[in-house]
Amino acid sequence: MGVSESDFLPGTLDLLILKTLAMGESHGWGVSRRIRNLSRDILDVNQGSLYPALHRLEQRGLIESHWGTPPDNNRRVKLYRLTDDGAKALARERASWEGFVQAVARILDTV
Amino acid sequence: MTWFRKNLHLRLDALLHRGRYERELSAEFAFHIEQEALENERKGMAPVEARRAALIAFGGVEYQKERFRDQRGIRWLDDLAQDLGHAVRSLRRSPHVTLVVSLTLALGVGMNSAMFSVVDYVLLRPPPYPNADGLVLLFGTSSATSDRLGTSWEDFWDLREGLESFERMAVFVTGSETPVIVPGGRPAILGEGTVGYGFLGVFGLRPALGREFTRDEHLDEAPVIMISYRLWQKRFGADPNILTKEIEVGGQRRRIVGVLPEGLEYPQDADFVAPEREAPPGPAGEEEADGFGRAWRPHLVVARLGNGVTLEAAHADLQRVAATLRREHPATNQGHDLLAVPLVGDAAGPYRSALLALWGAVALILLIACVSVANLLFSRGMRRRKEVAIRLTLGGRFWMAGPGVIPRPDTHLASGSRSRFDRLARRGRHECSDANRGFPVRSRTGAPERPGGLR
Repeated sequence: MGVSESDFLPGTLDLLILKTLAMGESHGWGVSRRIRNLSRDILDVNQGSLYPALHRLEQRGLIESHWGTPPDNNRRVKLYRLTDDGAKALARERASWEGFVQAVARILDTV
Repeated sequence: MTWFRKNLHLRLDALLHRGRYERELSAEFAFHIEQEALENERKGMAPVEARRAALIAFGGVEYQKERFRDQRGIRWLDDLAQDLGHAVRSLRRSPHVTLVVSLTLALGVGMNSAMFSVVDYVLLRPPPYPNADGLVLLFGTSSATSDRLGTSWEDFWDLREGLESFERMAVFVTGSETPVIVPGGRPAILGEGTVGYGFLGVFGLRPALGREFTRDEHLDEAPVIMISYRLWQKRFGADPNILTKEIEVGGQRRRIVGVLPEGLEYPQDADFVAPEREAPPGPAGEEEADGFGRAWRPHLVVARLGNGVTLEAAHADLQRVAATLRREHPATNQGHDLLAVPLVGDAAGPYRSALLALWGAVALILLIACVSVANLLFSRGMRRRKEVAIRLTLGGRFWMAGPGVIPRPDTHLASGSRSRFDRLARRGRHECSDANRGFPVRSRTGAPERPGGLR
């Protein structure tokens, strides 16, 4: 089963990035790998979208970045982590996403 | 607001530390590609193949950087810096042309700004007086000289008595440089003028602060002064307590009782004004009111025309009084006449049309300068036709590549910006990839074909 790019709603990538960072700080590649793994290889973030999205979220103050050494590697890389505002935004986005999914499901389940 | 500040901070940071930012971006992307290649190797690809696949998947490092710069919102600044850099290089490459163009433009622009400041001040700025049309300056004229003359005290009294066309008039004396000691004990040279009783009333103005001089202060030359609005603003910092201060003039301490209204340009060159001593008219035949007599004409007279009185009627009135004065005081007023000049536009005087013509001429000079420069650049541009053609083919922006304007920088190509060249390269990559959706969709060689992706 494939998920076509055009089927994705705007803002979904932001939601996914916030969620993956809520699990702990990570570098850009880590974010992309987490999304891939957690979706069991169904969702694949295009790099051309990932880094601009990370920067956009940083500009909005939802995530922040610093240079450090990740546990799985000894290279100094740019690590992103969720801010308090980001955590709030995640809860908000998540609620609205679930509301959306339920609404769609209700329509689809109508006999 | 905090979001805005944070954002601004990030953007400024990005701008000021561009080098560091670019290095960080490169490091971040390199790490990503490296990790991706390692993962590909774990899936059984040969190292070279693994790296190639990772690079393809990443989609062009320079292109991604460019997207990042767009995102950061400093792209136009980057471009501007590049264009300016190139402009400076081209200017340095041909110093003679640079010199000629700079001089031509400097001449045109300089003359125009100089001319415009004069025209603006003299002709365009509306006078700050209510009903300024009714305000005139009264001058004396003499058959002996073409200069405009002032008025003596005695003549002024006779004018005030005899003239019927004016509802108010007052004398004043323009400022002359006077050494003073300002509050705080510092010496200074200020322009000292004088005004007669009811001076501001003629203009229909009130002091910006404090009061005008009283009639008594005019009669006995009281040690009081009013300062100009400009002096109050500039030297005293618009001190609200200025009315308690004193200025020492010629060893005499004079109290500041008022500030003249803003924009009042009379008396000219006066930083402060003292009350003009108004000696009461002497007995008939007394010619020595200020000790000098009618031949001493230090005063300028400002007057307001009566309601509905035209300048022509006022002139007839003036001629009549002047004739009387000539008849009664032949010794001093022989060949002497009177002239009323509207205050508005008086600064230009008879030069009004000349000033406008000059302005037009100067504007034409700027036009000629611009045409000359355009010509010069155009002829130089013709020489660059080949270069421009190459730039356009490689994707330089047209309006930047055009001859005559700041040319498209070579650096544009070198820095791998999103030019047509770049777009072509990208399209090539898409056609190689599996999903022709018009999107840079990632295809991981070795993994099952999947048109999945996120925007």
